[in-house]
Amino acid sequence: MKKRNLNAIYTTPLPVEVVPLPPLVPHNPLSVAYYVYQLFTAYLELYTDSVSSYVSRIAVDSYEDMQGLWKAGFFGKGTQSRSDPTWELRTAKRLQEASGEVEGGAPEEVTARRRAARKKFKNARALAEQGIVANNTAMEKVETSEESRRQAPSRREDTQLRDSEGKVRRLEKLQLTFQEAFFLAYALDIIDIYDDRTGDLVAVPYLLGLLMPDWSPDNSFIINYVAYHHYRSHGWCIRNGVKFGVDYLLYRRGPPFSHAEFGVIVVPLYSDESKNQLTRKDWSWSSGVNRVVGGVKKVLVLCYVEVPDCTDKWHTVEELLKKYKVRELVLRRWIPSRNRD
Amino acid sequence: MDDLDEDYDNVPATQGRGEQEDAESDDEQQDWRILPAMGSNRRSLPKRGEKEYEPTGSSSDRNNLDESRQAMYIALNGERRHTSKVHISGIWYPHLQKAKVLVARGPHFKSIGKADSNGVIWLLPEEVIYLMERGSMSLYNAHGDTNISLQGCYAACLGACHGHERYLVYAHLKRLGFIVQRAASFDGYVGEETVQKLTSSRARKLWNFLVQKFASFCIGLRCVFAKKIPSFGPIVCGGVWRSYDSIYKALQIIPFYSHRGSIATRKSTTAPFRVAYNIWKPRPSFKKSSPGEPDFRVVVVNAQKDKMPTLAQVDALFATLPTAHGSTSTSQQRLRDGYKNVIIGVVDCGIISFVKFGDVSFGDERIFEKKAANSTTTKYRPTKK
Repeated sequence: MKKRNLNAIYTTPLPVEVVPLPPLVPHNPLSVAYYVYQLFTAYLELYTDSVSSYVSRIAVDSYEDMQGLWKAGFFGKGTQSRSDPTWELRTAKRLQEASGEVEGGAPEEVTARRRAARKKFKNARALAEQGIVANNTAMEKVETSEESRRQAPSRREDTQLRDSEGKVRRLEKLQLTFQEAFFLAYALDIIDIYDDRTGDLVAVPYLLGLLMPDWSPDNSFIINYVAYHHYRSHGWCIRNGVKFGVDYLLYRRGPPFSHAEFGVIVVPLYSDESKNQLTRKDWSWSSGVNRVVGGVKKVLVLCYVEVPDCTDKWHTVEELLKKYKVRELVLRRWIPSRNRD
Repeated sequence: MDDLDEDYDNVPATQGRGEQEDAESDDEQQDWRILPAMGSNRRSLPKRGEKEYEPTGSSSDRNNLDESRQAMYIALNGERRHTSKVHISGIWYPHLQKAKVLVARGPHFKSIGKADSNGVIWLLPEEVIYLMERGSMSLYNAHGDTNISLQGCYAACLGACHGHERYLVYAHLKRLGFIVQRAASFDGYVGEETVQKLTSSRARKLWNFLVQKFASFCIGLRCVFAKKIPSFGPIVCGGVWRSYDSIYKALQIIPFYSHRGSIATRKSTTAPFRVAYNIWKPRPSFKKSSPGEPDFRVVVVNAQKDKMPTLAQVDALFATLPTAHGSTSTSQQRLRDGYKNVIIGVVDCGIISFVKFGDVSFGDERIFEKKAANSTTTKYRPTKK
């Protein structure tokens, strides 16, 4: 299978444009003039995104914005897909009954193909182990019929999937976690969030109020956001880690490039030590999390977020965020016999 | 293949050899059939067999099992002998909580026991129990006339080992071949390393302050041009950015503990979170008199009595440790093993599990600089509304 050029698809780590300065050649007056021109006149344009806010979820409507947010920084999750919003692509392909497998394709298809191949291999191995000479023709027959059944596009509701021009209707949305949405709206200022009931723009201060209604210093949204912002700002691609029993996963570049290297659990750290003593976890907890995280070749990170005593006396979000402080530990299972030689 | 991570069966076998292998299980079964095949001229230890995935119910499976079982019985039936040449005898002095070795013989003394100024070798209680359990030692009472039984040895020595858990960890690591010695903090609190203070010169602070003010002024100016008021202080105000490096720098507003300054802790360690044993990987050149820096430091915890430590307890423990790597370490090493690390042996009713705690700081590592190089061509431009 031909490998896609990932660097060409996922060019930027964040959905923000960069205008590099031209090279400066000091002895060439033209170069200096162009440099100064670029320094002051590079466009000062703002891009905003349309995002609708639901009572309990924040999702991106526009197809281009969805793709953009995924490709530049891997934000959000397609509501009809595993992560990458590929529903439209997959549906179009299914409806067209594309003959023969298309190279690459959505990650869901790659997984399905790999699983099918593995199942086939396992069946063949099982037969070989039992000493039965596999009847190739019979097996092939079964498989082709299975294949055709799988590809059959006959679903009653398929007609509703196309619009008047015969194109697939765009039904998928990109759902953002609250931390992602707040990061994009506040830190990158690249999306605008609207209330879908009133259609009003939700300003950042108001959004913060919606997400942490009690304004308590150890509100779970703000604690998690501090961790999220910390890792994003240091160049990590951070995504939700609930599938692996952790709060976040850290990718060096993003899911298509490599597996996540770290699983992060966010722990609030109080200035009152007796409070920390009360929330101490059992060793079975650390062992359990470590087994799961280690089983998928990741390293567990405990991200302690120092909770300030109060959250008043601040004027900007930045001032609020600066009241928190991050401290990290890594926990790994240690096996003596594997660390001896 | 450009899979997303997501699934267990998705992790390629080729990914992350070595370092990550310790995540796998080491509780494999011994293949006993190799034992009878080991002649007296065989020098190396037999290798572990492959773990079978599941029984297939075939006759060859049954044969293998029967053969293994038979081999195990033969191995267990063998007479256990010790050569008198290396047999150790010692006298237990209860008031000293130590045993005096009468004649020091055998390879154990390379890493066990401590000689006093008169050249007499003394054994610590855990060393006595360990040797007694192996059958390598006979212990006598202070008058030198009565042979102390293994039970008597437990009764006499175990109390002086600072808990059964510590002895279990000691013996476990010894049997695996490690060289194990009591750490200075075995008996409790020892003077902890003086803590360096955060070094940041005043001039540097002033410079940082000015840079920060100038940067925020520039951002403000840009926002004015862009006719957008940074009401709540967006960090990247849709302005012009010359590199991702500068964007990330602007985003870095969350304070974090850095190893470049230093983490100031003045608290003293609390029991049981103190290093009990220093351990070294087995090496022929080991000298008791100059053991060098240990490979690992082990803390022993009774899981029934103590939960996981709080960060303050871990910090106090880290304050007593030297840094793990030199300046040559890679970012990956620093993030996986930590700037400092310690091993906690958790003993839950006799079952031992080890966890390695590493002191890391993701904020100290720069992973985005490499990426900044290849930012060109197609860019994402969200539609302006």
